[in-house]
Amino acid sequence: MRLGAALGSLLVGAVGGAGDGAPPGAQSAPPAVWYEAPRPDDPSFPIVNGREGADAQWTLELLGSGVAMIDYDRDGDLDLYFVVGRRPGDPADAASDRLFRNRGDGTFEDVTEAAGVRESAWGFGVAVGDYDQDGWDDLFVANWGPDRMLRNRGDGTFEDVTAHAGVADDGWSTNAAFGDVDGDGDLDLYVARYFRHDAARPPGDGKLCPFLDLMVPCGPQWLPAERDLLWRNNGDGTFTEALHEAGMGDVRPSYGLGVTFCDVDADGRLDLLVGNDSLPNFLFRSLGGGKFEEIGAVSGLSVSINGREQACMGVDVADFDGDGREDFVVTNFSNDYNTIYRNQGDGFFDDVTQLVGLADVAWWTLGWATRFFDADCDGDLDLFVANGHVYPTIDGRSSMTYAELNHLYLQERGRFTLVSMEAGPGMQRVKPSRGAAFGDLDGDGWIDVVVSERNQPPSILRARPRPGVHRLMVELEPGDDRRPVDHSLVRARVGDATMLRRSNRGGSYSSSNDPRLHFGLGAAVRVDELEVTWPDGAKQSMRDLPADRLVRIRRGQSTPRLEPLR
Amino acid sequence: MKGIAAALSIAVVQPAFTAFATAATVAAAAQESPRPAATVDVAAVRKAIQQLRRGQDVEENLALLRAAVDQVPDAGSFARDVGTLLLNEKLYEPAQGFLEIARERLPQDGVVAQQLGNAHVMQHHYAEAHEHLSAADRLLPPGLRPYVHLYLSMVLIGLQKAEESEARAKRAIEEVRAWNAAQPPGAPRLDEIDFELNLANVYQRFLRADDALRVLDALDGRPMEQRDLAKSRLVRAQILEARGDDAGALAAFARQRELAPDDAAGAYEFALYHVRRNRPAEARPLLERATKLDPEHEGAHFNLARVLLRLGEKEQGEAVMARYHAIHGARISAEVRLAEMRLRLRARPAR
Repeated sequence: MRLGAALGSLLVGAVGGAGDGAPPGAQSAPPAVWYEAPRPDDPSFPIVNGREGADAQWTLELLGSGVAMIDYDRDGDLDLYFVVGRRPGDPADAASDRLFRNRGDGTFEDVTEAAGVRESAWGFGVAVGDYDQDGWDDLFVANWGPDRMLRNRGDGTFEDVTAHAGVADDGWSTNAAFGDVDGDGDLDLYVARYFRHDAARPPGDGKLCPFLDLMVPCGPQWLPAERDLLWRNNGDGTFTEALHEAGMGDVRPSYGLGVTFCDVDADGRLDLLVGNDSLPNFLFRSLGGGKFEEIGAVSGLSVSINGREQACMGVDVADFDGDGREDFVVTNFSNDYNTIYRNQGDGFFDDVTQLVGLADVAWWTLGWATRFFDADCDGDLDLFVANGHVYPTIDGRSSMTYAELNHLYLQERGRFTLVSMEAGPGMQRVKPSRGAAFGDLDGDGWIDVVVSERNQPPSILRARPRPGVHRLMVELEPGDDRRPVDHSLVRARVGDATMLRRSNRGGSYSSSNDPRLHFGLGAAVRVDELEVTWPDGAKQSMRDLPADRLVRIRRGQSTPRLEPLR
Repeated sequence: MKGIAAALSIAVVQPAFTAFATAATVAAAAQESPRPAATVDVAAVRKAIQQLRRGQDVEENLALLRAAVDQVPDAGSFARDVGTLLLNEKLYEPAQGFLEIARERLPQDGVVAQQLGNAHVMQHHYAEAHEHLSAADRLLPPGLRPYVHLYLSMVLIGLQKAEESEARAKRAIEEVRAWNAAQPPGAPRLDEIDFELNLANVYQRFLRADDALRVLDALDGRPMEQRDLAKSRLVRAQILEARGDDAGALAAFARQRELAPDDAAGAYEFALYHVRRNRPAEARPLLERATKLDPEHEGAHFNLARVLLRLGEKEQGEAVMARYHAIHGARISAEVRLAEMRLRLRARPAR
């Protein structure tokens, strides 16, 4: 039985009610999920990404950027790193990425300068991982121009170690993800790249290209794609590029945007999905020993059910249907659908978008960041998609608009229903959204969303807890050997229901998520069994955990530490 | 000499939407396009179009056609016919380029306006489509207008003008009936059933499932040919599946197969119903049928290859996958080059 059934009556009332933007009142059932509007004292700087309106004449200006949730000071709450772009011709200090420290009281302070993360490059994506295994999370920023590795010194500041690490590639990187691709116990790094953009000779000789009745920036089709990068961690603070050595270099260079590690065949080795814009996606299956084979077409993940490439922006992986196998969502361009791929076993996936009710609902919107997460804490995974058209001048063309409503879909027995307009003012905002990170900012066990908006301030969307609905957060910590715990799997059993979650910071779009695992428990007040599968396959389990707790599990220690959620 | 489209005698598979309009176009072209045969190398033009359909030598072939436009005295009619043929081949972007030339040369030609509107519809260019189809509505004689109304209905959905769309759809059906009622005994008539099925298909494609079902329900009470009944069941099956009515969809798909066993699209869509439900064994014969009926069907080859691999037919599955990659690669290559060519066509000033 799914946990959601226990809350069935409440959910029915929620979807139909309180859709006028008013807070939930006593007259009707409270909504299943409610997101507050950003607060006046939230970070208010604009996330610069190119020129406005028709002045934006390079594709470089349109893609926007991501955001990371990172507890850089290890004070127990998530801080925010915003990647920021530029405008053509801007002076070097015109804009910078920003780091905001979570004060723990719902407010944030800008610590960009104090932390030493000022950045003058045109940024797109960000990945978080403890690549040097010193216990402090580091940052990798994907830029147009040299990428940047920022090592967390552990004293509230970062050190730019790009040159020493050897990862300063000078291309157009859009996104990155950390994962131990060779199983040697440290984090390697995959970097997705787009096309070669030369500001002195922009695509199409600076001419625009037709789209509908508009003239818009050219690309990416027929422009020279840049090959992605695989940085293998040498274990001494340096990296070696190993794409070809890993068997990933034989594919056609494509326009990479979405990246997530996964394990499509449940063999315990990390595979990798790369979502490409306008060309087939890649699925690199690990053969072990750091070697991969590309099986996108055979797996079904490279294209839609009709065998046609889509224009992927964001990706995520999770077991949305509760069958114990991980599935995928891929967000795409407008005039297309966001694709749900169900894992049918044996490494085969099918596009089941129509089956789950999502084939039509996002046809006109252009999707970017995405995440499966349990928004209403009923035990099954819901879905968020950040929307916003690439072309600032698209308004009025058919049913498309530049600023768009982000989509929150609640799942009920395998079908998704759009509830954005019933999910509070935070979800009713209409913005040109791009990246988004997902996690529990305030320690209440409900998943908050931070959205990067192109040329506008970010949106921090806080979930309002609902009384009587229980949940559990799980934080995994390395053992004495300090091997990374990223991509560990955790199964939580409640009665007859089992929930599978992966500790995955990657996915979404150019963003990095809360690594902790979230379990919505609905009316259940205990978890009967929790089993952790560490990246090397070792297992650790515990029983009878009370709900509404943050459970800290250190590898090798049989007794977890429990803290009450707020 | 007859119009170039008729002279080329190219057999084309026409989408249901454009069948009637295209027939009208070709007929009109045949009547209105006398030109010296010596100015056009018909064989070369025919070869160019055939190769374009296969995605071969796209740039060269479009350049040949574009050059031919400049060589004939009646360039407007010639561009119209080439544009129409490209439209039938679903080569929408270059079709648009040629039809724009024709529209400029023949501003009072309703068929050109209609076809240019259609080219924009197929590319989701609704504002432009509305402009040209509205012109066609003014320029065409009554018997040719119903499909203009149908397309306009579709365009108005895209423009989020639901009430105007509904009015256009009603007007389309009323004009079909009025036209048929006015015809003398024995004269050819417009196919009302086919027309309404197309309307249902339009509604389904434009996310108006309720309206599509309403049209289909109304049709169910009327006598229909087997072919039309099959179409009706296919649209109904797709709508019901999207709504989560598995049993209803299954019954409709099965009935469609009984009624039209040689319909590749029906076999393919029914196969996808099974694929989505992880039933490779059920999907396999349907996909084999679809690939046999349409050897260029990209999606059918893709799914058949994967179904075979799932069923353990490794060698056969890999062979079909190789075929899929060939079809897929050719299409991508053609689309990229067509897009490039369109830029050049647009950049070149009309004579």
